[in-house]
Amino acid sequence: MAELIRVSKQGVDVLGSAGTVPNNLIFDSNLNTFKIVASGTTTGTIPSGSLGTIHVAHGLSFTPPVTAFVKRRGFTNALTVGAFRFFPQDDYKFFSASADPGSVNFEINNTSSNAGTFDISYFCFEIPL
Amino acid sequence: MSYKIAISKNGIDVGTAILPNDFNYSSDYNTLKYYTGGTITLAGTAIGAFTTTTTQGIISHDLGYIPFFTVYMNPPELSSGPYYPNGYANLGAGANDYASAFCGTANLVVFIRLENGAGGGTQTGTATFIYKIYRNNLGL
Repeated sequence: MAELIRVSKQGVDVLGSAGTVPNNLIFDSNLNTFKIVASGTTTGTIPSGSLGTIHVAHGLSFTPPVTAFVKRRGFTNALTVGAFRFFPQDDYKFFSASADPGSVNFEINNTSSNAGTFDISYFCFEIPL
Repeated sequence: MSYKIAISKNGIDVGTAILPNDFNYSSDYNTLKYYTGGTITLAGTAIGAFTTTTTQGIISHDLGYIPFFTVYMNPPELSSGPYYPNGYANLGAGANDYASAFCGTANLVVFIRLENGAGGGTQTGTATFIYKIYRNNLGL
C-alpha cells in the first residue's frame, strides 16, 4: 500500500471520496506544490513618458518562470505584470517580467508627467524554462 | 545538522534528490499560502464623445500589508470569457476598454475603464474578475 500525507479543507472528510479531489485539499503529498526557488526586491527610477527596464541577477543555474509586483514609491498600491494604473501622478503600466539564464528583467512604462521610483518584488519558480 | 521535510516525486529517491522539481514538497522552499478568493462582476457605460467611465470593485483583505495576489478578467467589450491574467486592454478604432487590478494594505481593487473617442455613441462593458489573495507579504 502506498503511503501518503493528505490534509483536507475544513468540513471535508479526508478519508471519503471528496478527500481525493485536489480542490478539497490543503495538501496532498502526491501533488506537486508551487515552489518559490528565489525571490527578492529591486528598485529602478524611470523618467516621465519613458519605458524603462530593470534587471537583477537571480542566481539560479536555470532560467526560471517569474512573476512580479511593482509599486511606485510614495503611493500605496501595487500592480502585477500586465496591469496598469490611470491615476494622476501614479499613471503607469507594468509591461512585462521575464527571465534569461542570468537575470530577471522588468519593463515599466511610466506614462505620468513625473519621473518615478518603482519598487519591485519578484518570485522565481521551479521547472526550468 | 539541519532538519527538513521533503517529499520526492514518484520514482525519485528523496535521499539523493537535489533539484527543486524533484520534490512534491520541500521545506527548503517557500510556497504560496492561500488566504482567500472569489469573483466580482463590474459593469459600466460610457456615453458621448471623449467620455471615460471607470467602475471599481473593492475586495477587503485587511492583512495590513500588500499580499501576493492573482486576478483573471474577461474583456469588458465581450461581457464573457476568455479570461486574461492581471490586465486587459482593447484599443479600438473609436473606443478603448480596459480591465485591471491593484492591491494595497487593506484592499484589492479591480476596475473597468471605458473610453469613447470622437465618434461618441454608447459603449457598455461587463467584466467578471476571479481573484485569489495569498498570505505571502510582498515587502512593498
